[in-house]
Amino acid sequence: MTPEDQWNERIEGRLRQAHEQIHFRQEWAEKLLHELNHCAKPQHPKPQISLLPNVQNTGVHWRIALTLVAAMLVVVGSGIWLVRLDSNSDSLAFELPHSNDATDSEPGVGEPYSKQKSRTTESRLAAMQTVSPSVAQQAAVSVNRRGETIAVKPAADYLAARLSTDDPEFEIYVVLPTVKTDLLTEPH
Amino acid sequence: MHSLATLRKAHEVHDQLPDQLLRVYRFAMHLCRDQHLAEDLAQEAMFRAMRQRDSLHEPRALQVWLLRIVENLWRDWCRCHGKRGVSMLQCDPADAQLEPVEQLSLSDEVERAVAAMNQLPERQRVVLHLIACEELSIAETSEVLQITRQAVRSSLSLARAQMRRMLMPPAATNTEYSSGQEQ
Repeated sequence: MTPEDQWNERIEGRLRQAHEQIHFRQEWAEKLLHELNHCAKPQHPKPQISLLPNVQNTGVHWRIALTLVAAMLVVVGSGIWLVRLDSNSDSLAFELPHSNDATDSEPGVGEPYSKQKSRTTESRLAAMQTVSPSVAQQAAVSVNRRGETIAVKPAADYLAARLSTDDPEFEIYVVLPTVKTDLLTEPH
Repeated sequence: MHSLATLRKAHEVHDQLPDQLLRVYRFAMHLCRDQHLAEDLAQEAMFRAMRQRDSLHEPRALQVWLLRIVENLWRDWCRCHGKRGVSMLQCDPADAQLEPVEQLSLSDEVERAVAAMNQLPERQRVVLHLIACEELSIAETSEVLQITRQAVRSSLSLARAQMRRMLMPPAATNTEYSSGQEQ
């Protein structure tokens, strides 16, 4: 061994001495070793509580979960769409064609009757014939043209006159101030 | 499915890990010079080793493996924080020529040796530490630092030369230098 090697050995021995004086905190070391032992324990399989079927293949498991999530999103999206549709139902209803409904429905008191609805008017008037004469006497027929009342006649006279006109601007209002609307229903 | 041999090796590594804690901590302390950071590095290294103990093919290489983990963690830490470790003794670079060890007591000699080592460039310092303090071979040191054996030898030679320059009496150094030149 050369003097140089001896010197190196001596200095490195001093370095080793200094190195061996380094100690960790006992509390830290104990805690760390405790945690390491805890990690090293074999992990027992935990009981699985899942609504999903017991599929061993993790990939299949994930696919099922993703499918369920996608289905939930579709349901929620549909719900939102239906709610929006429901909130707009009034406007949609107005957009629907309803000519048949208007023609077939029985108009109420004070509703205008145009010439095109004469069939309905006729049927109404025919219905009025079925009521008692005392009630029919109280009814009146208002004949309007272009929004202006040109005649108000007792219903009985109106029935007798059998209003007929070809003028499409005529509107006929049935004025029944004291008579209930069910008076105007179609006879069964 | 773990084979029986793998489980046995993992068990062996687990049994040896506590014995390596002090070595791991000291190496971490040497690298970072900060007690709390050294604790963090050592802790992370131990947990990594525990988690990956199945991947260690040769339990006898546990020490080298652990030191390599610490070294990697330290590099990552430096990369994340954009700095290198600070010197524990805060030696003044101008004080590179230290008092010759022949004139000192044992404790002072130890202190001066450490101070001299702290003056070394990091690569040389770590190589010298692994060779001198951890008593690793050239091959093991190259594995820890992930450099070639030739690089280890070169760094070690430079480190020793620097240490001599700083700690040997000037007369001895001159004599050695002149004798070296005569050769």
